[in-house]
Amino acid sequence: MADSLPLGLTWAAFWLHLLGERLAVRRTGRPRSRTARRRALSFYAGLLAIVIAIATPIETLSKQLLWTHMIQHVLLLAVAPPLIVLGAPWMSLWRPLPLGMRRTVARALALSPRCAPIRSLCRALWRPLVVLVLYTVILLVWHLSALYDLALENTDVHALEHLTFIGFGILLWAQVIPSPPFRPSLAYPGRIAYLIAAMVPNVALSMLLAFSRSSLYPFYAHLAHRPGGVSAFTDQQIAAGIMWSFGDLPFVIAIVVLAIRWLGQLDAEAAQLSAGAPGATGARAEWRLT
Amino acid sequence: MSSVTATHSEATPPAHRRRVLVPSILSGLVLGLVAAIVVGVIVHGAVSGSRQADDTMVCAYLAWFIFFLVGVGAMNFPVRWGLGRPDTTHEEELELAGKDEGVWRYFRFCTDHKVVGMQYLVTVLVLFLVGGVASWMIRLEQARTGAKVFTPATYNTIVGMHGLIMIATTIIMLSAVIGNYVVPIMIGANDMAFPRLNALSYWMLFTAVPILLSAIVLGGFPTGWTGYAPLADQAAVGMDAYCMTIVVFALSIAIGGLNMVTTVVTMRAPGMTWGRLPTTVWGITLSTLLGLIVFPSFMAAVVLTLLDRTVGTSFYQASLGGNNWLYEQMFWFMGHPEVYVILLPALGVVCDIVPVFTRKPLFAYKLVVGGEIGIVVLSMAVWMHHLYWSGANLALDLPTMLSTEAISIPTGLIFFALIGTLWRGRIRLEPPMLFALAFVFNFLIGGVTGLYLADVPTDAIFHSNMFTLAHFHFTLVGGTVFGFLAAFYYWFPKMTGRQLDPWLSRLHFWLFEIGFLGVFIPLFLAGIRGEPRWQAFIVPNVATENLISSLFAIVIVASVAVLAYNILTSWIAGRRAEVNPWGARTLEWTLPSPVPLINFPHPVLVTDGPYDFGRGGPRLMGRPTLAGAGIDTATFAAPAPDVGSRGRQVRLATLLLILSDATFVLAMYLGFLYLRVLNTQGQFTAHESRPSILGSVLVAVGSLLAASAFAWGQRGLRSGNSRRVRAGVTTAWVISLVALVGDVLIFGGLNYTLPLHAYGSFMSLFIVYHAIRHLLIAVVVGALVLGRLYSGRLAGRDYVLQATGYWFWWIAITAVIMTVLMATIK
Repeated sequence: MADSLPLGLTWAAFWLHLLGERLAVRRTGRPRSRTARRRALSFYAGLLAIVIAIATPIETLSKQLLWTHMIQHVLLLAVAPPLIVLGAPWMSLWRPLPLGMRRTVARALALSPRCAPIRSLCRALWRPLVVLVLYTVILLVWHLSALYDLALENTDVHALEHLTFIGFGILLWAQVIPSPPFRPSLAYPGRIAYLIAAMVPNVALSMLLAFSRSSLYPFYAHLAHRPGGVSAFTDQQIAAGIMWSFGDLPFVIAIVVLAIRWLGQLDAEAAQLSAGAPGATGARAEWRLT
Repeated sequence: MSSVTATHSEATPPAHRRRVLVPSILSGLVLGLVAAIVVGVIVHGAVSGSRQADDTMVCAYLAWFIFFLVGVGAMNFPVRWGLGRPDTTHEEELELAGKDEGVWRYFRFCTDHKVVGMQYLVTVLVLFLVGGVASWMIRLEQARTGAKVFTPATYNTIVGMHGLIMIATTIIMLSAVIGNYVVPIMIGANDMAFPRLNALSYWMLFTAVPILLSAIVLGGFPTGWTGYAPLADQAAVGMDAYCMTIVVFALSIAIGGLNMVTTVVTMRAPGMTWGRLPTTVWGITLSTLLGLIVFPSFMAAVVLTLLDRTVGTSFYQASLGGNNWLYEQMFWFMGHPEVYVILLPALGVVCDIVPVFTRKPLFAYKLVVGGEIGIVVLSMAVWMHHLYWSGANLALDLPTMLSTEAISIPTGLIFFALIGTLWRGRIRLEPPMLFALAFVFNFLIGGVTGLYLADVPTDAIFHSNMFTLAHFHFTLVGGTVFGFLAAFYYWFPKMTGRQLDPWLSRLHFWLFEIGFLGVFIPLFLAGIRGEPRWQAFIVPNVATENLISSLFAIVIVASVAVLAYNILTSWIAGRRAEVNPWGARTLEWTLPSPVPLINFPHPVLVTDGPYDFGRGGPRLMGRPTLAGAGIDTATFAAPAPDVGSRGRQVRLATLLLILSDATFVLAMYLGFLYLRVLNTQGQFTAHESRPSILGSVLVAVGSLLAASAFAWGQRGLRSGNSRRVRAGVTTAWVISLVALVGDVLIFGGLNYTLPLHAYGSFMSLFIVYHAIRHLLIAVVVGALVLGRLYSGRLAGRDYVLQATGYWFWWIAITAVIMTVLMATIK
């Protein structure tokens, strides 16, 4: 039952979003804009990544091959979350709920004194540093041998692992990609530094896996046969390679895009400043981290 | 090269200044040589045993390096500054930059970026000639089967020297020559952000040249330019020359890099937005940034070799817990990005030249810039493709295959941009354009053959043989050298005021291109037939290819002769160049040729991009009518130092230098972990005990306290409380002194015996490096800052304290990490 929870949630999110988009068209009387359609596609691509990760042979092979399991993790941690965040599905997911329910819940969450702990928790969770630390801890903790193997043996724990990966992945990427109504609090240089900081534990972990002299996960080491006939050790090294290259690729792409956007922003600011007085040197805008 | 120009707005002809002999290159040479000999003799007497020769030479080289720089006058400013002397006046700055001075300014510490650019140009041409002569000797040997001309050992040395000289030359050929001369003008600045550091980086390179050439006298080095351990550990004394060259070169690159990046980030003229920056500037800036990030890794690798050779550590001795893999990882982490350091300026220059000679804007400018940024980022992830055959499990090679293939994507984007620019353009085949087109053709061959080397199955056949060699010659020579020659022909009129003879230029091009293709295409075939690298013996089955290759080398010799003749005659008696012979639209073409001392006496406003052909001539707008605007001309002649922007420059430069140091420190710490993982504990540690954990914790806490005291003192600036500032800075300085003593005590408490095992080597290295940084930064620099502070001349210069504060925090962070490593890993 538990292992179909992530899949169920994914389907629910898909239908809810579809419904939300239709409602938006009906209520505003206008078709969806190009941005909204691109966002919807991005969101569905993210959901598709989740489906590929947990409802295809990747899932079954993960129990036999460490490197396939690594592909699954990369999809859930580094492919699906940025696509979902880019998709900014939040309003469309919220819209299909009945108006009365939306009003009550929103009012309670925003104003009720009983929900004050939830509000302070959300505020604490939205700090970039807190999210980074939690994401790193989640990443490292789930790669400890004991917990890694436990997740493979126990489907509830496995579902929890997947949910935390997706959840904290979304929180992390939301710090660097604008996802209306949520806005990153970091300025561009801060976002680039943030992504580099998020890459470091990934690289360190994959180096540890790559250069270690023995098999780190008994679950895989004790398997008698593996598809393809690879040894446990080779399997581990391939997994490390996948974690290193494919796991870092979304970060690299994001960094390049952010760098270009940042330069464009600097240019726009400079144009604004010198628009008033031709020939004025003007104090160039100082770049800040936050 | 007179500094007098026809368009300079001087009423009277300038009087030439008396030549200053001290400080100059002469005093530098004398002082450096004397110091080297004296120190060498002292060390030779003091040390005995198997390492005597190495210790002597390394200390002699260090003395040469330091005292040459003292003799040439590089240290005058910091010492003056620290002693609290008044700031230099504008007139003194102009004198230092060589105002009204003749040719002699090229032979002393001169801060004019144009002078530094020309110094680099002449050095590059000379080095290129020396490296070229070595290559002709190689081709001479390889023309016939057997080792006919040189012994295998001599041949190895020639190959190694050729490699090292050419690598060093191709790194600086564009970044230092064009980067120094042209880039500041292109962005509308009057000089680099740190003119003295600029001159320093040149003279540092100058000291590296005798060190490098002394290797020949000392018997050469057997490792080739890659300097692999453990052969590097065992080699004779010439290896020390190699190592010291790298150390000095890496320092020069770090300083030059931070200067270039800071200049381009902070000194662009108004209107010169990032979107209007010529690709030359992009290429050179990204290249120098990448260089300053990765070169410390090479420096670390070579420093470890030096320590193995001079002190008796065992970073690379397998029997004592070391591993040569450590060298390979550290070397190639630098080695692969380095080829992009070499390539990016050439790509940028070609992307600037092609639009000028097709009279079309650069196609997809944003893709070119994005591609270059992508190359910079990706290049740091692909180095393991140089380690395919080092003994790692095949599974570890797979991610590198993917990322190496991926790096062809941004490179390909830039190529498409070039093709798009050429499409339907009105192409004028002037010499710069010929070389730029040849770049595209040659680099295509080089890049495609690289794909075969990126993939393990094909690399199995082609690694370590002539195919690989031909590949990288097509990319380095066919790419960068051709890009350099394009840049040389393009900017020669601007730099010297003379035109090169167009027909000799074309003759040079055709001879060089045909010769180049003829030398290296047969080598691809020789590689497929299995001819290995670094081998003096030619076997009969590759004799024909090698003979053809050597015959075409003669064509290259002819081309170099043509070039030399062209340069000499044109420079002295060539036709005078116009201001804008090529009809280009970048800023330097609005200035007289050669460019006078002050590039832009009036402020610059840029209103167009550099590729908007067909919209009139180049614009140098924003010359306010001085009378109408009521602006005092004197204000423009002697610009007041803008403290706000100076602060930005100093802070950015400090952060970049810390970034460079971070690579060095990371290389050490990660190397430690790497060797620990590769070895069993017994091998790694033997009986060596942990250093005093209490001591290192105290030192770490001390570093943190020093940084906090400094920060506390800094806050006194805000409230104007100068007593607080002095108290804070002095306290921080004293604590750092105590921490230094602590380092020395911990080091004294290590009772290791030589030879050290890998663990002992790392522990000693950590402590010594930390002590050196404490010494250099917190104590020496702190003393200078204190001196300036107490003299009262730091008022208003908050950025000095801010920058020093960054260093204090960085030292504290590394102290904490070091303590954690020492306490947890054994």
